[in-house]
Amino acid sequence: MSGGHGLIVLPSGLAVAEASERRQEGEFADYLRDHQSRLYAYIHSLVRDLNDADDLLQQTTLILWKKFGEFDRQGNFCAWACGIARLEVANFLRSRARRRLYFSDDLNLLLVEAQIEMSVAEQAERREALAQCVEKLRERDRELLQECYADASDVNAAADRRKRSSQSVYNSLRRIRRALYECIVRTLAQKSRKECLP
Amino acid sequence: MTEPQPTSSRLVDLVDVYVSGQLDEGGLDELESLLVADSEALRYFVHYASFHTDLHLEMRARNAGRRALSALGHLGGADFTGSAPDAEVMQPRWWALPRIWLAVAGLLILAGAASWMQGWIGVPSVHDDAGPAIAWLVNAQNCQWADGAADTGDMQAGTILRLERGLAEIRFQCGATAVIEGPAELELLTARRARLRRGRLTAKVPQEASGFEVLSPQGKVIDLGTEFGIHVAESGVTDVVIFDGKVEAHVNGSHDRSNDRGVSLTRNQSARIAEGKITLQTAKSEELDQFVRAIVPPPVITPRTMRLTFQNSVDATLRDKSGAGIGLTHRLPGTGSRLETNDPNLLLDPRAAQLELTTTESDLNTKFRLARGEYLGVRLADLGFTGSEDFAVAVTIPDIPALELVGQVGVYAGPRSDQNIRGGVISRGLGEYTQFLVNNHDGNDADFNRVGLFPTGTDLRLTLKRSGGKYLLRLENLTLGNASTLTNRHPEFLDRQSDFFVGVFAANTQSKVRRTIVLKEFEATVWTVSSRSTR
Repeated sequence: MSGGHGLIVLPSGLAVAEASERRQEGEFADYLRDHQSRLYAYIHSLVRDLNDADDLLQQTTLILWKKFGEFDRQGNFCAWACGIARLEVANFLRSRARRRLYFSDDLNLLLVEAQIEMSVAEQAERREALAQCVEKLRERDRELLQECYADASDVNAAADRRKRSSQSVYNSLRRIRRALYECIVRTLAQKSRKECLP
Repeated sequence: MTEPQPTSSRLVDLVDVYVSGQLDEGGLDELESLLVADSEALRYFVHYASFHTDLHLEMRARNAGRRALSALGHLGGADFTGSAPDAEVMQPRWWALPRIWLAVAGLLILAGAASWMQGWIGVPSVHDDAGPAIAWLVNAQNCQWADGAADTGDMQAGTILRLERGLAEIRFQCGATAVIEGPAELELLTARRARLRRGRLTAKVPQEASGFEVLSPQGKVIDLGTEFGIHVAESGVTDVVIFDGKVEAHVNGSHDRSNDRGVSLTRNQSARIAEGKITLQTAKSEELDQFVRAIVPPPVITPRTMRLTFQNSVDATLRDKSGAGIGLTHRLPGTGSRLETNDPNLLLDPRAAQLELTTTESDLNTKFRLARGEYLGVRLADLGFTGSEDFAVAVTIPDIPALELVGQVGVYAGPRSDQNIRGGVISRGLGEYTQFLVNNHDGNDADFNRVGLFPTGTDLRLTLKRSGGKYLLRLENLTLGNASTLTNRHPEFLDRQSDFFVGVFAANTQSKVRRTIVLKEFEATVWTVSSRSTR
């Protein structure tokens, strides 16, 4: 190893390339970290299956990294990433479009625009509020949510265990979701009022 | 930012039904037109859908947390299971994100350490070229691959499996498994999709892998959580059978998605996809049977043999005239009951390594004087026999003496004296023998079969064997070095029996003249069967 005390060693050409690549990787990671939850939410809103969303996020991330050099640093990363995710989702849906149960590509494009309007901070707040609101639910409602939304989400099994029809469980879930969403809206509004108080 | 206000209660309803996956095609159209027409509706949708994603993740987090706390409770004796986990404990919730997401998000936290980038997203192209594994070969039996390879674990998109013969089981990343039977050609497209170019495939698809697709040259089959078989002929004609659950069959060439609803098939239905149409029918059992639904490992067959060379006395076995244990443990039930414990007709000669057996006047045919009959042997249950296994009994008899007419020596098998099969040599008088095999049902000989002639003084090795349920008697002429095998009408009356005795006998059936037979090398074998677990 060369370089005595206090001596600055200039990197070789290779080392320069490596250093540049590492910088780019770090930059990409920063972008992704900031926007990944919105990207994920966007994909999930289109495919509505968490496992599919997982796979599509992974595929999209690989493509984003490969194309990162093309990304205009002045542009909106979320819009760019959601645009690429949209194409991945379209490919994915084409392969399994047994029924027309997905939105058109035109609408998916509009949804990208709506998605990027929600800020990272706002989404974090909403998530925070959701956790609080879940705590406020009745125990049995929380249990039903947990059964139907956890790893092996299965409404039919939850209905069987309760000796209820699937439709009645779907109705309960709908009521709980609506209550949670309203609770989130209320919580955010209260927070905003507090912050505005002199 | 102001909270988007839903423009109508109808929008609220449609959005909720959409995110829950319950919206039908008409509802989807209605929702789409509402969203396209109104940007506030679009904003509401994005907020609600985002909330729904968060709800999924939150619930996964809580479940994982509950499991983790429950595990801690077991370790420390504390009871966490009765109460909901503390919200504080659940924060932050990032660790609850799904598997791949977790890998991405978690590793990104270490983004400063760029080594992750090289390892995963990384530029080194080996990984990129190969692509991630979408399926794994998890089991194989008697496989011969066309390219002599493919016997590997991980398989990427685009992999084409060309199986010439044998069975291979593939597990897809989505959880579906497929067994292909050679000759077959399968192209792996994605973690949920494969194209069967030809051959036979059976797929098992758990509920979570619903939507798994198998494409064929004529159409495709979409699984909705079930088990089905698909066969693609060389012509491309595709047959589908459903063992359980439900699938949708589609034909090629239907580009209009709204018309391409496919044909639903349920349990025990089959369909042929050919020439742009699907023909539905009830699956015949022969059709169902043609598919291998699981790779069942071949049973392990272990021969368990008892071999006696008569070189020493064996305790706790039948005794000869001097009280020496001869090694054989049982008599055919219904015979020898009046013979003395130290049987005067038996003499063990360890130095000559032989057992001498003097015939008695008895006959299984007509149950003649069987209380004094010499039908020595072993009980097959002692060798693991339960009723269905193959078995054999063999004995060497050197220098056969001249028995009087119809005197006989040989080997037997059966549960008792009036239900058995026996074979060996039977005297024709005048110093000649002939090989025979006969069934004895209810005490009377039937289906008597004989062949060949032997002079006295010949050395013989007799083997009575049951193989695949069929009996045969093999006689090796050790003097001349030749052999002949005799089979007989199948003794159905023995098929239901499970407690068998096999052994050796010698009798002067219709004569008072007794002779002594020398026995060497007695052997009884049961081929026990046990299943082997799959790997």
